[in-house]
Amino acid sequence: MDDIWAYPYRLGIGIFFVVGTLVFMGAFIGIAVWLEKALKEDDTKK
Amino acid sequence: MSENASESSKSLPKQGKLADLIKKTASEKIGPENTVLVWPNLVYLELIAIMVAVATILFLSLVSPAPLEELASADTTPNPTKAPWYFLGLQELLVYFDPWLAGMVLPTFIIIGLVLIPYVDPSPLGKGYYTFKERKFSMLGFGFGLALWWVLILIGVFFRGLDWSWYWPWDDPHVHQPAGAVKLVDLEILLQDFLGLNEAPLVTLGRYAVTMSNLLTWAMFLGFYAVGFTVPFLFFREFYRKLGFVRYNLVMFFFISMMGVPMKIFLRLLADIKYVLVTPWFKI
Repeated sequence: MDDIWAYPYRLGIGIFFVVGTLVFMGAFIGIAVWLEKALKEDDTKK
Repeated sequence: MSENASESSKSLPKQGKLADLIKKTASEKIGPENTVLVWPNLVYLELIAIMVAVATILFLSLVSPAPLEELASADTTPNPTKAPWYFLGLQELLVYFDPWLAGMVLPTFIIIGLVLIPYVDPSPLGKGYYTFKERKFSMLGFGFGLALWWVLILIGVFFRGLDWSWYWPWDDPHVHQPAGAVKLVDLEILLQDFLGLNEAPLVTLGRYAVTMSNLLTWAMFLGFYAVGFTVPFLFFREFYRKLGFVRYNLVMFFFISMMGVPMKIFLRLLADIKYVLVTPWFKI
């Protein structure tokens, strides 16, 4: 059986895609949640 | 402004036409004592933001010169030839899709999809304040697309080397990766071999010889969209009712197409599938 970690790095690239997307999503959503909390007392909301 | 605005958004109907929502919002009287003037309150902030942005760009251009290379020569084509970083996401898509898809259809979908967002989103939630809790689907959907865009750029900038092959940071960037390491096959050939289907065409339409396995790939491709359209309709009926027929179908079309991009990428990476659908005129 081929070494799954050898070139063309199928599994490595696949994992990179998943982890990379999750990290970026986590960052974007994290910023949104942080802003939501930080500006909760802002009078523009309630 | 705040009290009236929040009360009006609470009393808005959860369904109905966008025009009704706008009328309802507009009919709520918000007295001038609860508003602020655009000038100077907003324009001043914008002016400051512009000055900060210009100063930052000026500073960056001074400390980090543009990476211009020597004069182009017809004798020495650079390998790899990379687009500017902000286009490398699209260039990376060329690994997984034909140029008409990666360079024309997908960017067009992205632009039209982004332009449509204000028109297909009737929800008053999140207007004027930040929220994730009240806009989970929108934010996760948009966040996913944006994340995918940035991951593709990151790959193009840092992980593509000679012959557009993948190079980890610990690989020698001056040595070519083994040629022919990836042997790709079309989904219909895979199905034909796996299910032992007959290679003879069922029907021939001009240049198009429709085989059983080719029909199956059509069924799978259309089925992907059919399931995508149907499942939210069946299990998240409130979502459908809030959007209405036209907006629901627009949202789902772009959402399903967006999800199709990483799926095709994974089919290629993990199953060595080149095309999921083959016709004489186009291949996907």
